[in-house]
Amino acid sequence: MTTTLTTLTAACATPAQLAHHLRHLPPGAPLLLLQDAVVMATQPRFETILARFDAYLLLPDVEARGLVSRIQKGLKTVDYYGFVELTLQTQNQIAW
Amino acid sequence: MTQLTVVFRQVPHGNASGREALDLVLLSASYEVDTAVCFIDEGVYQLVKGQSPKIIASKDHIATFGALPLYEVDKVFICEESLQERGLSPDDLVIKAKTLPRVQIHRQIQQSKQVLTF
Repeated sequence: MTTTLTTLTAACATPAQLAHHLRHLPPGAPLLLLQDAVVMATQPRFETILARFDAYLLLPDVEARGLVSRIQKGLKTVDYYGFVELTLQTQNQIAW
Repeated sequence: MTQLTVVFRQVPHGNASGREALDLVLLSASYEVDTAVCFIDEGVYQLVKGQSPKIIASKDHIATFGALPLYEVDKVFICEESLQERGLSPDDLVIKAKTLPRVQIHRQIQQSKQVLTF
């Protein structure tokens, strides 16, 4: 089976909007939040939806926005090398 | 009635809209346009303390929010609900400004002669 890394770059206004974006994504699928999307990982209201996936955050984007101490539990961070590794571990990438 | 209301509604650094909006506010205030500023939705992240935009090669406009009083921009409003939804409190922000419930932010926007959103 093909594995796909999904990347999100924009912040969703509500958990419902995030769930809508991710409705085609199977549970446990790798998901990387980067750029403005990282703010969702600091908000408790998005926790349940993100927990369904193998969610990663691009750390420099969190640091730039001053939000490192607010990252919700259970979310993993990666640096740029980690981002490259994720793309190597999966066959495809979708920028949603 | 306020002449101009500038609304910040996006996360900083993903694009330049926050910096552009702030430039506009300071410019219009220096031309003595009666200017108000609202921070709503993701826009409240513009004001979070401890940002390091240089890490992602983005220009740091955040400290410049502190110049708003110098330009006599005193109508600065932050949406209470937007802060709460994001687990933020007024203490987490780089400026001291009035927090208002969403309905009052709406009123401010409705009562302004011109509104520009960023």
